[in-house]
Amino acid sequence: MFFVDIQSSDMNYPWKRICLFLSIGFIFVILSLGIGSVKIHPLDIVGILISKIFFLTVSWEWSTTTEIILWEVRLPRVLLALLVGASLAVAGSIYQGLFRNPLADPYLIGAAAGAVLGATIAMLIFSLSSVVAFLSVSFFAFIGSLTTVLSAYLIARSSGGVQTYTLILSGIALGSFAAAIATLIMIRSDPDLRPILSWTLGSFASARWIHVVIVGIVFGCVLPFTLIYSRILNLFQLDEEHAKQLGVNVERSKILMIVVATLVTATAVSFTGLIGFVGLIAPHTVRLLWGPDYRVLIPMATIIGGVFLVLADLAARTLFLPNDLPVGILTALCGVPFFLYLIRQRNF
Amino acid sequence: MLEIRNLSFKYKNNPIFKNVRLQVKSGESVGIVGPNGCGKTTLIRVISGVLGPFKGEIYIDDQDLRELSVVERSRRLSVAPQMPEFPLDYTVHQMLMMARNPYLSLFSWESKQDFDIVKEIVILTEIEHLVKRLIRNISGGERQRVLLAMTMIQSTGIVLMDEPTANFDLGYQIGFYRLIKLLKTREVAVLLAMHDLSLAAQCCDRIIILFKGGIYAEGTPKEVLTEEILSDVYNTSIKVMYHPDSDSPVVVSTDRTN
Repeated sequence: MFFVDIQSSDMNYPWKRICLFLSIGFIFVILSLGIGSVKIHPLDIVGILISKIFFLTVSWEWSTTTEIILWEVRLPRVLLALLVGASLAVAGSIYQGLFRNPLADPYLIGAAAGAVLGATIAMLIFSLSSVVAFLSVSFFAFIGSLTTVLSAYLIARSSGGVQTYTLILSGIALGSFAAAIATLIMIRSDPDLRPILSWTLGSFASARWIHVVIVGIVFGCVLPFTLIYSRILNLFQLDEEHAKQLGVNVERSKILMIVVATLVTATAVSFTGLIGFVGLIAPHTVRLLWGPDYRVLIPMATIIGGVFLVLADLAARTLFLPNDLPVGILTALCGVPFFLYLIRQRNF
Repeated sequence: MLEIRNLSFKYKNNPIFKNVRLQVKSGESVGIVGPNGCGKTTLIRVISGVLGPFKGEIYIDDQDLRELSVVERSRRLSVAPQMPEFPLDYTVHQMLMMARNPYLSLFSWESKQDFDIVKEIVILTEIEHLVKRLIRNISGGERQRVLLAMTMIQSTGIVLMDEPTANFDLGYQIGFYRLIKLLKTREVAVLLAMHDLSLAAQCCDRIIILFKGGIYAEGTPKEVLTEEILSDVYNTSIKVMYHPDSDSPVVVSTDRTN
């Protein structure tokens, strides 16, 4: 039970809480950079980062191998996990608010699988050699994702019944369909593309700086937009007609938010594969702790989603050394009990 | 002021009403009554701009409804809809604050002034005890009171209410009369769709009977709520009595076989 104090919590932005969680997240990121098949001392991590980013020299020293492992392998991987987690959390928050559906996760409504199908098609057409090719993968992923989400939404809207469940059911069905076609294309294609098979359970094993940059740019554009729209997302929790009567441009906001959430999902997923339930775990954790206000929910879910995926990936690459597990296994292991809990908790 | 001329509306080629004319002046309360399915709710929704397209003209403060943007409209006209979906996990206060949306830009949040307005209306409408509770945990009647408070927080010159008293117990009906009176002293034009005729008689200056797709009768409660007219409209025998204190009509139905 949350009693919100009228004077304080509605007007003040939770800066302190955001800063606290940002610093906790930062510590987690630094620590997870050091853990792996080769251990790196936190002091060395800080030293390498300072020398690489600010071109300063520090008094202590480390080996070149350490530097290569950190800078070429581990840092892009951890940063990509952070960005993808944050992206999926933002997308989940938007979908849930937009569809008034607490179960709407980018994975469950088919957005992720649609993106994978789009990306697979793009990889068939373009060879992955240039930045243009990477961008076209993202673009195709976006088109695939948008198609699935819109289809799932329209099916749910026209079928009547309890929309909470019809949206998820049609999303899962369309998602499985898209994933099946994507797998078929991969099996029939060039053996070089086979590694992408791991896509059905996403992984950060092949993370590269180019991925970090593209996902980072898209996420960097989407986050401010979402923060601005967070107040409107609150109004979306009213009856749709009521929101219109209160001056919300419902149709326009809806289209904008679907596009934004799908864009951020598609970009995140097109380089990593299907990672489910992050968009469910992060926003609902925030709702349980601090209530439903999207102005608090969006920033906090972003941080929690990012850190959660960094930790999940840390577990994925260290639990069964030298095996690198797909991180999607771990998010599913955490996410499914959460999903069942949500279904049990309330009557939709 | 709200003015409607020759308003006709069809829903999927099914004419709901034709050539409706009505006017609600500032500081006046007008009630729309009529049997179930006569189009009261549809009329309210069309006027509020969420249902269209319609034929005829709707003027809000001498401005054509069709020329107003969503935001401009929401600054002039507010609606308490009938049984809307509620944001169950929000507190009453958070929901009330949403009614300030017409005055906020995309980039701004509620200011001190918005908080003060909400506080003032909360006290006026006597819902202080509800503000900190979750919508999930309050009753249907209490949710209805929140909706009515929201129309006042929206600070518009025209207020539409669709079945505003549906969930009220007798005790709060008095509170409702007071609310209507308050709106009238603030020069608000109030249009109410109601099915309870006695209640409508007490809180409306004028009453319009919507029947067979048009206005069947119009006038003061005493002129309109007569046994003759009502027996026609409701197709049953109806007794009209007069309240000993206020002299307003009290309508009861009687079974013909008795």
